[in-house]
Amino acid sequence: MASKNIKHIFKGFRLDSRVKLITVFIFLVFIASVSKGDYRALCLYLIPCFAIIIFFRPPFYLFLKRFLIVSLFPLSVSVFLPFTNSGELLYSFNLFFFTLKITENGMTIFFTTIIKSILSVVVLAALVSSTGELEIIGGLRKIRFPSVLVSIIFLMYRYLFLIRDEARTGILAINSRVFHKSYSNINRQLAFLAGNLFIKSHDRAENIYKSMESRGFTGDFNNPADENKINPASLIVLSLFITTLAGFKCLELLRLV
Amino acid sequence: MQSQASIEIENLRYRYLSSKRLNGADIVYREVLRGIDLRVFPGEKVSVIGPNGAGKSTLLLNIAGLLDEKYRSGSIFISGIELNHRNIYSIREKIGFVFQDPNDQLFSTSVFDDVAFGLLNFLKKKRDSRAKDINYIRHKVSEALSKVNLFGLEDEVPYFLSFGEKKLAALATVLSYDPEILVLDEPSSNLDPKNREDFIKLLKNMDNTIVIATHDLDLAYEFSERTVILNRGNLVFDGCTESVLCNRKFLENNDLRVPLSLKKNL
Repeated sequence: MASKNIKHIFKGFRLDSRVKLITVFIFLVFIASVSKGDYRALCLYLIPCFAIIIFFRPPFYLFLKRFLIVSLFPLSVSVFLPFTNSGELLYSFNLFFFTLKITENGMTIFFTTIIKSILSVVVLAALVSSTGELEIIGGLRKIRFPSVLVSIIFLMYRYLFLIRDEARTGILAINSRVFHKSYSNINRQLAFLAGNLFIKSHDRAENIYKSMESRGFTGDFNNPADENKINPASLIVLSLFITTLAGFKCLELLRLV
Repeated sequence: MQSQASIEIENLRYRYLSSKRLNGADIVYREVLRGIDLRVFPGEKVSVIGPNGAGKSTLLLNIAGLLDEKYRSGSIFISGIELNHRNIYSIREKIGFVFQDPNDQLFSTSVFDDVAFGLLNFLKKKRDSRAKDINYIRHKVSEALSKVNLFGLEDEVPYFLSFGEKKLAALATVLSYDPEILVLDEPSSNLDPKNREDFIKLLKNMDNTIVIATHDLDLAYEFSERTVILNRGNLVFDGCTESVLCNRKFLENNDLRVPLSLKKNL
């Protein structure tokens, strides 16, 4: 009977967007709180990281594509870390005009940052690949994330489409009148297009604000009391996840790993 | 005795800041409305027509209290209440402003959110307990969408609607809070003939006071018995639509042309 109930709960199981958001947020907090050089603890967090991928079920190629694109950012930012921290000297490169020094402390911070950021990017890529943008925004609203921030996010999301449309129109207009396609010519036209997009987006923002004002907007975004219940399976997954992470944190703090 | 006017405008002047030197010495203004007097009575349908730059949209934005008060002189009364910065929010509830481009009006992630936006704002402002009653909100949203024949599209993303549907959804965003006055800027622009016809029919069947600004003289002819003509910020005509639209000389003097639907009769 109990197994039947469990089967029923998990039938057609799909994690609620709110649960996904809370899970990712908690995971990021736990990852960020690992002290530098604690590689064993970081390895331990690989388990919940894989669990997130399994439960979120992102489409594999989309997940991989997003992960690879986003992971370039932390890599490019942290590449300077080995050279910019004081500590015991590991290597030094004597260039003609200055000396580059790599310190042990710098390397530790570099590796910790890389592992933390890769783990974070993995879960974020799993989140955005498995959940629609609108679902994420809806989830943020439902978990009572500050409404102004949610509204800014969804206005930005909406602007992306509008700017894309304006950009397409602009590119068509350029293509229809550019007969000599040299790089300098095209680049100059694209610079004009970028400027034009800026002005158009300013105009659009003004009009949207006016339309909001005309409908009684005074700065507060009011949401209809949308109290959709989270499905029980999602709640079970969330509880299990929090318990596991708390357990890992205890192991880490008690230095049992 | 005539009833109280829904919209009463007395000697309205409006100017835009045209250019300003850095030291502030030379401030140049461009006057776009020059002493407009207008009264619109409850339930009346009025078309505001005129050539480009005549001041039609500025007049409408002023009626809705959406332009900076410091560049305005004269007075505007909405249902007997003078429009000023102190009572602007209570007056806005009486007016539903529909923008020319529905993309300006629809900014949310679902049609439901957009249609509920104004209603929720006004209910919350009045501390009305119905703001928390999701069933009431759903009912009002469905009702507004039914009026514009978009029932069932609550969960759609506004961006992905057709242009005609966007126009209708933009109208529904103001119908949800039952404004006394509807103000529409170029309601027929970019609509195909069928959608245009449906839209006009819809507006004509409404009991609200409706003011539209349009270039489309055929629309004015079909929509309202009363027309106001603006030219270079001046109100040059206020009266019967049919009589003015048949007056070729007057129209041409004001940079307008006889509408196609009347041309064959002249």
